[in-house]
Amino acid sequence: MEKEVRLKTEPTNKNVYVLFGWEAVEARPNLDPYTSTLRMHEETRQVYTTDVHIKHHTRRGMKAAAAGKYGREKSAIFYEKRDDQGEARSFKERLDEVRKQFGITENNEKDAYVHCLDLPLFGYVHAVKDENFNAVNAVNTLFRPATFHGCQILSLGKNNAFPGEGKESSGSAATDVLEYGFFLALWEINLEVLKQNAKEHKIVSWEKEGAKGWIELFINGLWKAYTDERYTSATQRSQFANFILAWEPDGEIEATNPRTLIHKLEKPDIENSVEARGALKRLLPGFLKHWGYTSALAEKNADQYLKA
Amino acid sequence: MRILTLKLEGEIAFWRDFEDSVGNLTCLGPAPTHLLGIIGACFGWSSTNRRHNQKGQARWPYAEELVKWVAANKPKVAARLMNRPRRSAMSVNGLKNAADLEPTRIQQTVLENPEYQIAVSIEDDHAMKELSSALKSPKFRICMGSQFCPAFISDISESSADSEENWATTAQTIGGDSTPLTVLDLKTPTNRLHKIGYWNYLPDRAARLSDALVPAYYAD
Repeated sequence: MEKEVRLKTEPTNKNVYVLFGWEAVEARPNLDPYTSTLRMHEETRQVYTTDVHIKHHTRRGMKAAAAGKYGREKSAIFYEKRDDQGEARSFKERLDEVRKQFGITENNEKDAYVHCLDLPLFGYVHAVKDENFNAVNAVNTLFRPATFHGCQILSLGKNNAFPGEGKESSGSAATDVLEYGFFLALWEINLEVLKQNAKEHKIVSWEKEGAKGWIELFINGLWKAYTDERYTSATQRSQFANFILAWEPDGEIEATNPRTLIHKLEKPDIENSVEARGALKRLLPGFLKHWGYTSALAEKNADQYLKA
Repeated sequence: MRILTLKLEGEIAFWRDFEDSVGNLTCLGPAPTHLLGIIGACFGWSSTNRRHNQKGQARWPYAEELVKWVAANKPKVAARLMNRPRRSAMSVNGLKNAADLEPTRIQQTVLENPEYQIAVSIEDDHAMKELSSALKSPKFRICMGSQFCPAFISDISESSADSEENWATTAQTIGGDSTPLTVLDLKTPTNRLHKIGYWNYLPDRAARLSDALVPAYYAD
């Protein structure tokens, strides 16, 4: 079991930034659902994912992180694709489940909002007639998470295990596979929105835990999603957290996309972890200055990159 | 007339087409209503965690402070493209709708690396100073059309009404790549917005900024 990440102090700035780095080896992260191909910037061969994708996985990790702290019975994520039996649920069914889980007998429109852990962070639409309200995201990726380098894409053949109905041969197919990629996701947490969203929460008390409790939940959830709570799908299991760093910006920021670090590489393509980590040791201190970094609010494995 | 201009940019933009029944395609640039939303976010006027569909209100009303600000200051706005962003497909796995959590694939397009110059004109000097300072240090993260498109503001300065650039031009009829010119409806409280024509972000010739500015509200 990995040790939890803790914030050194309660943040006081308007925003907190989180930079998360993870590696993918022979992986197919976040395929386009229509084409079933990797998302890639054609001109630089940088592979990217979407905010929807990384938030989906973070939700799963947050549920695991919260279970250790608040107990499994108090750790609910509202937006889960399917229930424990693998079935999709309607909004009403999900809402009823949440009420049952928390023993709520007198229904209130805020029931899910004040009990589920993902809603104050990633937003919510309460779609019930005459009760409608919404909460905006307090946590966002500022850019699409992407490799900071060009990638080699392999076309790998795969044999199917069994033939389809009415067919003699099981057949085969070729898929594109990311041979190696080091992804960077830069997040912004707006503390005013977080406070507005979380101030009435019943599980993570704003009064007792403040922004610190919520940010720790988010960071540990994100970390877990890429370590000991990795999803077992073929597209997700070969991805691993490398570092995470949170800070409060000091002074003006220069909004630089981590993806543009490719322009500072001696050669744009990187093929393995050793090359990637070596490049980040050179590049990250300068990059973080653009985002007002002076000291870590919390970190895990980031120390290696912070010595200029 | 005092005019403030600023640069608005980000990695992607998704200016949902008001007139597209599916709503998965992006226009080339923001409408005045988008720009008012950005101004509201800079000031920190929140509409989070508030009820919608209330009797006598629009279905998804603006933050009350924003409506008051528009009514008091009668802002005019103009916008222009500073580059030629290309569209790309960014389809994702999502939910059919908020009331039905059945998973589905969502097909949508976004603009890649768009950059705009935006102009805002208001008469009151004090209100102009307040606006300038809010734009310099936005309270909330501003976005280009949707929350998955965070954006950044820079190069805030006062501009001359005579400056000639490729400002979006107004037309009453739709053309290729037109952006529905939607403004905040101050007249009817149950309406969120009012369409007064179309903005063309690809004009044939440069226009004076004073000619390009349009009221960001409807009150007639």
